[in-house]
Amino acid sequence: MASESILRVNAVDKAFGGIHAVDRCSLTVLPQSITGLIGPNGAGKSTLFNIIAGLYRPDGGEIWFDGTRIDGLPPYEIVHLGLTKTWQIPHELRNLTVLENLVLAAKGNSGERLLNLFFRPRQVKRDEKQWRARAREVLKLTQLDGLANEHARTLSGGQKKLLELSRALMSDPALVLLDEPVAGVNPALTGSLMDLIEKLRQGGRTFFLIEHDMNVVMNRCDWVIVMHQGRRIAEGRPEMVKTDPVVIESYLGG
Amino acid sequence: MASTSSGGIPNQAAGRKLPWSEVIAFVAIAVIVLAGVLAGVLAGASPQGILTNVGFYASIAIIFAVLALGFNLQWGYTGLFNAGIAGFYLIGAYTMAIAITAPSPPIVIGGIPVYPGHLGGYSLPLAVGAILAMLAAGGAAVIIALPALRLRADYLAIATLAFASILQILANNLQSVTGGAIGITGIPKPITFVSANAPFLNAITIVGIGSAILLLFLLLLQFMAESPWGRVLRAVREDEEATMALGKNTFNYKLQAFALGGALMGLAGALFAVTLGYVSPSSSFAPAVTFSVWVMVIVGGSGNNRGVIVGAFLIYGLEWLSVQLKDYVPIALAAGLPTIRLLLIVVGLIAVIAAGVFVLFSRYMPTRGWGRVLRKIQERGWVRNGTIGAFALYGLGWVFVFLEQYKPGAIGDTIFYTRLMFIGVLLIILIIYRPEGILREHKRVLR
Amino acid sequence: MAQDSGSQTSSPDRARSRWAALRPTARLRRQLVQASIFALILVAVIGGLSFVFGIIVLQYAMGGLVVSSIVIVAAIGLTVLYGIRGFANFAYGDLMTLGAYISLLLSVNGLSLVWGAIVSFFVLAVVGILLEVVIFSRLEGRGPVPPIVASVGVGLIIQNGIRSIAGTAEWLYPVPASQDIVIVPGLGIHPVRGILTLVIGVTFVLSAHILLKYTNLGKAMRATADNLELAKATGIDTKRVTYAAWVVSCSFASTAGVLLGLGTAITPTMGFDVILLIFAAVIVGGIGSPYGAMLGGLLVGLSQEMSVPFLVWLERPDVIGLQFGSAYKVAIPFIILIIVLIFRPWGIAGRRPAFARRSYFIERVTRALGGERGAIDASVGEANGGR
Repeated sequence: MASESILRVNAVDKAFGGIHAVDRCSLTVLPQSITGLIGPNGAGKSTLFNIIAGLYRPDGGEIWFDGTRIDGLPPYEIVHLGLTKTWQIPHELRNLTVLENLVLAAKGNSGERLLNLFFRPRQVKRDEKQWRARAREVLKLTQLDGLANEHARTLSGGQKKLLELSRALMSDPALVLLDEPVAGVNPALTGSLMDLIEKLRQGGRTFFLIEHDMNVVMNRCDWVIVMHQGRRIAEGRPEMVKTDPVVIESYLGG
Repeated sequence: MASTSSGGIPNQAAGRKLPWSEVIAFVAIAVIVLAGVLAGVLAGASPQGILTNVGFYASIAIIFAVLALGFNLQWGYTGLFNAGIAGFYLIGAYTMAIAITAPSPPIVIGGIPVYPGHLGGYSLPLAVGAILAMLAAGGAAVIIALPALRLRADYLAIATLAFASILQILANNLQSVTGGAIGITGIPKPITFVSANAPFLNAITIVGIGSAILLLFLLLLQFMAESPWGRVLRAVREDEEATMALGKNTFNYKLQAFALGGALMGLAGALFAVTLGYVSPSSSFAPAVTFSVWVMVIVGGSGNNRGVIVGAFLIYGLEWLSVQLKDYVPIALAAGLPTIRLLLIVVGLIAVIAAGVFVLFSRYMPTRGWGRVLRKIQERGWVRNGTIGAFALYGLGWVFVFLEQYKPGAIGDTIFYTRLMFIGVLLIILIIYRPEGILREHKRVLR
Repeated sequence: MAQDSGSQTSSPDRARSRWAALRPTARLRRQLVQASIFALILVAVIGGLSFVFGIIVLQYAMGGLVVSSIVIVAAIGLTVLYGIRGFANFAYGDLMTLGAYISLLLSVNGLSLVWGAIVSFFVLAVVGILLEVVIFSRLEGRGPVPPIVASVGVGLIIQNGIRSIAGTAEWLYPVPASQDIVIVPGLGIHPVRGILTLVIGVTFVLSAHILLKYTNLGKAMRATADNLELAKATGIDTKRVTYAAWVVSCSFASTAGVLLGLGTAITPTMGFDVILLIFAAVIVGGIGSPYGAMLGGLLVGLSQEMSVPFLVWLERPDVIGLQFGSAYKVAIPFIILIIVLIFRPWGIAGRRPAFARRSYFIERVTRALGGERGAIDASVGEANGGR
């Protein structure tokens, strides 16, 4: 079974000064799925995402992504393997324009190496042109193309969420970790955003998302994993999880 | 920047307005130079002497501009706050001096060592010396960066400040290398002139070479900073963690920016050594140099290469002018004292009368008058700041008058310290009210 | 979680024993053991050195202790502000200078130095509050750099204001001249510059300890330094704590300035010249930790003074013939600072931040060597696979 999964988290531990944020948590994500991760506040969901993306170093356990062990790798190398995450609180680059934000997220832009600027100017120019075109395509997809040359700090909260997703798509990831992608986004936009995610999933990507909006989780996810106090306490199809007594006790009911 | 620049800044993209702040900056530089020239004329200097003096201003301002470019690459683009600019500057100056001077053995007169000598005396060409200076300063930047760049910005500031002060101690005490307190003299000029006009011709060549170097590095930095590479630097400045999560090895970028910035500061040191003809561990490498460069970059607008050059010419211009005017300020103040006092009294009376009339007036028209003005003052930030500023200026005027009255000459004598105080005030006001600088960073519109 | 359990244990116990804090809990016992080990090592090293090199080492150690007590008073003040306001106050040295000059001004105008020091203690406290209100409160939430820039501006204003008013000449406090008290031949201590400084230093350390450990304000200060958001959430008046931090910081600066002026001479740059020494003490001890600052100050002060005989030894032509060896003593704290920054940037007494990530370089080396990896629990992995 394990070889089929795109992401396998195995007994990952993380403590912050005595508080076990993630406590021997294990889970797997199947390729081309939309997997939801739910749980009460402080269950360790965002911490787990940060560990998977390489931003925190786990105290123990291992993480496999697409046949490669990634725990302990720096975040930029994990991105290059095809795993990208978005932030719960948007980390837009405030004083850069939306288009700049997107072009930055591209992998392997030759102009980002100092020596290439001087020794391979043609390739730098070609790459930059290509990535800008790609960025405009992505912006069309996420309906931000009208704001391409605005500073990212001028966007609304919902637009910043879209920017996060757009940036994630720029690196052509196989797996995207979305940390509350629709929190603070208006309901109309939520629908189209989830449609977009569905479309991208059909194009071959995998999404693993933390969400509190039960509508989104129940209607859009194929598989739901429930975390509580740093552990995976249940998983299954959304309708199964909804009726699971353990889940109801710890989360939905309480 | 998070709290100040959220919504208040108008969008500049629409239409081309006259860039007022740039115009004001250039007019201010012109006024500074003209005032300096005027001071020279008043002192009865020859036209050539005045030009030499202006040339000196330009050459030192160019050196500061190169320092500011280096610091701008580190802080303005990458967000790395360097408090040890003077240290990299010192390394550049001493490396240049050691590389290009002729051998100078210790001097002993009557058994008393007068000069301890210094390392080197390799008589290398100037260009080689400059490259060595850049390599040495850039290498030092890498060494200091390796432990400090992983940490928060304030650790880097403290570590670099410590580094700069260790270097000053070394320059003072490691006599066999640096020549001790005397330093290294006899640094050759780019071209040796044998004529009565030598100082003038020297000033001209140095300004020429300096401008060429400044222009070259401005173009180079502009090219690099506006490239995809520079974009990553700006991303690191905005949010390092997010940039890392976008797949960039941020440590490498920080290291590159810090080393290149340090190398530029080394180049500035090399220029300084050649311009003055000697280096010594004097005030030229004191922490005040670092702080001046900060002001230059903040005034010029961090992240704006042309802006920081303007800032360097402006702020060094004030320093230069204070030297030029040192002899005239007390005389002018003494002569103008009655006029200033009269002016202050008249302005004060007018203000009091106006306020009185206003109070009377507001009694008959309750919706207008005091309450409304007070409300306006509270609502509009610039009105409030203007009012506070006017009061402060008025108070300062009286302070000047009383100082001149009871301690004549005090202002003229302390003009250097007053200048540094002014830099301090400028730092505080700019960082609170206009952290983006007078010429702010422009928006990059990609096509 | 943590504060929940804390309040549960404290509320029923409070009435029963108000001296609970003094009972030898496991933590206190551990700390006492650590402290006595540290003291023993210190005494052993100094004693050993003086046994080998003679009584002169003890003289330098005494000088080191005197310097340390000044550095510690300053470092506590700097680190309290650092912990609560989250920025490095580069004007701290100049605030010390200001304190020294205010008491100088009063003492040359007829007041005794003691009263001068007390008045400047309170004046500086007011200056601290003014600085917060006028300047630093406007820079909150803008990261560490803007307050640093502003504090450098404050420093420039103070330093050069003093230069233009009082001139650049050296001043001395009107202290009655007296000889060193000779303890053993070759080992003496000055009654004012030495003993008084030591006594005041110890008094300030104790009062800081009592303030932080046993008063509500001190507890609020520690909680705020620990976690600002949590402190706000638990109803601590963080504004009041901020002002208190400024008051403590600046009044300690004033006293440290007076002590520094007693030891040497009073000049406009006296404070700025020692600011890096104090930063070194603060960072070596762990930023924001007053107890760390005490430890760091001791280490930095002692190592600076006790390096002198070693540096003088290096001056001998048959060793390496270093010129002006003892001039390098001020570089010793920086070398300690750099070493600490490389290996333990959170300080020797500071707590390793939860979010500190080891450098990727070290990570990669351990990975290449096949070393330390997280425990792999196969059974959990198997259980997880059955989906």
